[in-house]
Amino acid sequence: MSHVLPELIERYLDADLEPGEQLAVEQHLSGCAVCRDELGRQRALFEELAGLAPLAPPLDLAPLVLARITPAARWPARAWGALAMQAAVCLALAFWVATSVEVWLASLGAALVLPPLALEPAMFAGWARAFGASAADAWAWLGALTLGPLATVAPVQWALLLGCSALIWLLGNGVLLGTLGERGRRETERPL
Amino acid sequence: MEPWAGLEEEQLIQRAQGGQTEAYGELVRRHQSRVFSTLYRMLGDRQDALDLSQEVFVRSYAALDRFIPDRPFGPWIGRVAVNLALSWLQRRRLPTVTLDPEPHEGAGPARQPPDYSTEPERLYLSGERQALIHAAIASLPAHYRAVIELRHVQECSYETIAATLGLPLSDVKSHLFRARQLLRRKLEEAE
Repeated sequence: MSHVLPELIERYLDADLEPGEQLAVEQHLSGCAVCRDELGRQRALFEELAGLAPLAPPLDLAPLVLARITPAARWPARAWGALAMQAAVCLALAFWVATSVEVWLASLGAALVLPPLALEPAMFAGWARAFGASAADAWAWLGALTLGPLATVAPVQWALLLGCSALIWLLGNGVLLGTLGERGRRETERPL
Repeated sequence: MEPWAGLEEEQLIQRAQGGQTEAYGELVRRHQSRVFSTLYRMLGDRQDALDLSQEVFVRSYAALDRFIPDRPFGPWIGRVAVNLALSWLQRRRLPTVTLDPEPHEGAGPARQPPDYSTEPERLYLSGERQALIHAAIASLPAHYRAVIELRHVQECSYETIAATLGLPLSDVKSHLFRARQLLRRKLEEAE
């Protein structure tokens, strides 16, 4: 009488047999004491392995792990979202502040607001040559871009917008205030 | 102070992902036995297991952003531990014992298995039978240890084991079969 392969018995215990194979193995097992013994030995091994008791480490690992990690070591995913939101708010606020400042300067008669920077093809070609690229290729590449209304923004307006954005971001994050406060605290703690 | 011990695992993960390291400390406390046990069986040395357990948790913290909080943390960190142990064994080219009559690809020169019969180890494993099983597992080639650990202790499916170890499904099944045969032979010899 032929017996069931040990591999099939393992797969039977692992519930990895096709329905037809499983039925054939079960039918054989019902009439074969040798294979039932083999099944019993394999089942015993499965149970022993599943019953291995977890081993506690000889010391608490948490303090050791925490000593090796710092919050600054990671940049939490939600921080990226917060940063993007900050940037958007800063830009919106800065746009409002910058245009207000521009209007205010104009009302004072100050001629600080320069006309928009003229974007000449020759200028881009010159830059491209400086970087070793051919002027024709560079211009073809630039020609594919649409600068749109950005081309009409004056340098002073750019400076105002970016400057205001940076200032609002720094103030919003307490960098300036925090630094000033820290300096003040150190001053007050200095021994007399 | 936040009562970390009273929080659900999902809440701890979310807080840890938000940068609260103490929440991660609580996760370490809850899963350190699982990780240490896995590494002890994989490496066969308590000090190595202790060192690598820390490494598993430190690396997992760095990868925590990619973890979805509502999934169970235990199986994930268990798989990280197995993979790290395998890398560590391959890097150290830790040899395997001579139990395997078939030459195993990638295995280094033969060595003696860890001696779990010594008194401290026996006490540590709290039971002769457990010590015997640990010794038998530690005597297997590294990939066999990994599949036994993943299948029988961590109860992973064949597919999960294949994905974790980067092996074809057929290799997982053949590794498991050979590993169990070797384990049984070792245990029968010891009886």
